[in-house]
Amino acid sequence: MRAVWAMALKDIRLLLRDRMGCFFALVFPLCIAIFFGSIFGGGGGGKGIQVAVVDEDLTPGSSAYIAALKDGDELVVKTEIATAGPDEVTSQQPLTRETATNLVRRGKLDAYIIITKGFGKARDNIFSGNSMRLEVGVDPARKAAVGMLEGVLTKYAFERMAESFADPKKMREQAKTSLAEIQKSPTTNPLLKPAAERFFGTLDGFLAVMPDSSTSDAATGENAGANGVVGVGGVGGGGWQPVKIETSAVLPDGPVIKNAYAITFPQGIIWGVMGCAQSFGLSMAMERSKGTLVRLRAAPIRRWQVLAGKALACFLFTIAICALLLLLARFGFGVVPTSLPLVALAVVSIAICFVGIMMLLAVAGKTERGSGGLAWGIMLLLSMIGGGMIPLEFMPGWMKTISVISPIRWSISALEAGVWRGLGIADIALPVVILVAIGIVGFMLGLRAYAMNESD
Amino acid sequence: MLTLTNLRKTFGRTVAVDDLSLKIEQGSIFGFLGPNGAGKSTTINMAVGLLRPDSGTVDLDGRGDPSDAAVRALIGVAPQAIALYDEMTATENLVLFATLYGLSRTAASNRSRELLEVIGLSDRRDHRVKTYSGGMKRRLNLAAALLHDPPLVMLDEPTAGVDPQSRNAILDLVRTMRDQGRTVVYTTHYMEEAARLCDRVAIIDHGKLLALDTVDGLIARFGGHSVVTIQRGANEDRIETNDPVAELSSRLRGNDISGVRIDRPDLESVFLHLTGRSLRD
Repeated sequence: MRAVWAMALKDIRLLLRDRMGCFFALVFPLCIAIFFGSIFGGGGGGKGIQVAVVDEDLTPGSSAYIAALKDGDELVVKTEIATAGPDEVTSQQPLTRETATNLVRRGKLDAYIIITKGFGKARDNIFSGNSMRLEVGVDPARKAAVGMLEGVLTKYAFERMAESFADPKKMREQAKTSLAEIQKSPTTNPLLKPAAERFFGTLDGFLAVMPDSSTSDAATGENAGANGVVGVGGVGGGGWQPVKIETSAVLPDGPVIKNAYAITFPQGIIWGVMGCAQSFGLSMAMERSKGTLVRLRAAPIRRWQVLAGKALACFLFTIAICALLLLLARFGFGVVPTSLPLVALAVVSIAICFVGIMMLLAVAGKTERGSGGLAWGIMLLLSMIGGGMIPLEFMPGWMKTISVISPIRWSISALEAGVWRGLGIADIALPVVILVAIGIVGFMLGLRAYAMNESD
Repeated sequence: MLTLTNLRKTFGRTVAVDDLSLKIEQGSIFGFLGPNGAGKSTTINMAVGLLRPDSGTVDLDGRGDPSDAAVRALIGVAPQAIALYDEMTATENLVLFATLYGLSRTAASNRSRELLEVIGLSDRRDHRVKTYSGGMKRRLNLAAALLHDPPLVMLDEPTAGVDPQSRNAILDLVRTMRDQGRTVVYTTHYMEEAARLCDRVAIIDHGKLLALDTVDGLIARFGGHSVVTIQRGANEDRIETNDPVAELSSRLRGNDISGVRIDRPDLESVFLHLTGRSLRD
């Protein structure tokens, strides 16, 4: 064990004396965390937002709205969840407000949408003065997606209006119904009633002379809807809001996030970890090219001890880098982890995982240049598909699906759990198990490849 | 001390070492002489356990082959490439390697200090190796092979690319090793070094052992005759002889001799005789 320690300390010493290596292990990830923290304010947005939709209205109108959301390209809609019954038979159950919130809190989905009671009625009588009210809860890490999500929800809500305008007969019925409701409503301002009567009278006259779009080349529903958002929304800015979206962040159960850096530091830390793994992996190629590996192999130590020394150095340095960046996050950027034990567990499992990756990198390339290129290529690929470079929510659905093969994804999930999501041990178990498994498999494969490479 | 029996090693279609057998006696300097690519380093690498032979055996003092770590502990190796960490100091390098050979922290420090004194680098012991000259690095590379006081030392081209001063220091150190009872295996493509240092020399080319003997024995068997050249004005007489002194004394008559030269055969002549080409080709 003394030999392994000696080699580990040697590798750490060499890395600390390598300015470029230190830059990529420490300074670069810090830049990443600060950069993303500054420009995103914590997250992203884009096509393929995964949402949970909870239908509390349970009307044909709300069902039609959900169907429209599902048919659209913008969102990946989940309305049910698999639940195991007492007889252990799994069945699909509609999402509830609680289950949807939990899915978002755990980072499984980007947002939830609650279709509140009265939505369908308001949708069918758009001039009644009642709003189609939606409650939206967004993962704070996906904050940038809020704008797009609201736009998409509004668009599909107004498609109904476009349909109505496309069918004047139906629209006239709606207008009449709405006027009747306004007139008999005790809560409506009496001064508004004459105005509503004039408006609906004019509208009725307009619709009476309007051609039926089912027989004309009127604008498509999509275009009409898009235009409708702008036009009607503008009018409604004062008192009338046909669609009312109340957005809130789904915060962890623990302390509230104070700033975006809580979300971006895990990402930055992973870059530091990647830098470590790459440096130590590359150091094996350097040992080989400079000849020091010959001396190590000629020494009376076992073959695995040479790699174990590197693995230990990588493990210790990774933990040190994580600790240092977390301390910087805490005291420099006010990021207070929700659970230190979970953060510690995540850091250890990440270190194990990247030791395994480092082992594979160490044996993969024969030359420094080859190893360096290979290491960067692999790390960039894993980072790209795992959300280390571009947040996952910017990616299309299929990329989100394949991101499960990237340890970067699991590393970020594990860190987020304890840094700001306020999750429990059960929630972090899967990422931890996956990370440790990757580490063990990588270590074993690395040892085997090393034994094969160096025996001849 | 070291017995190699029918060693063979190939890399693809290239035969690096071909059925090589020899015995190296304890307390001697054994030279492997041959051009670059002759198979010297491959033989050394098999002898220290860095390469596995395709066939044949290596035995160290009846204790088995160097795939066993305990056997490797008896060998000190100075590889041809300077196997040192540039970003570490001389002391840090030596202490690290001493630790790998099982020395305690204190013993490693003491031994490092002692060896740095021997190779003349005490005053630079805390400087990083990257600041050293080529000769200093070579000396340190050699010192790293002696940390655990091994009975067998393998030196692979230990003077490659060094200045004459460092070369002399290294050769002196090698002689000292032998005087201390160590066995030294010394590969080189410099015939002068082999002639100056080695008790026995194996001439190797294309992986084959061509000849093995003392330097004098090799020259006597394969070197050919000495050549005595006597200049008389513009004329030059060249006489091949086995006894140049007798030949010269019998011909030193008259006062018209303007110059005399005796060219004795050397290892270069031996190599030329054995391979048909020069060692420097």
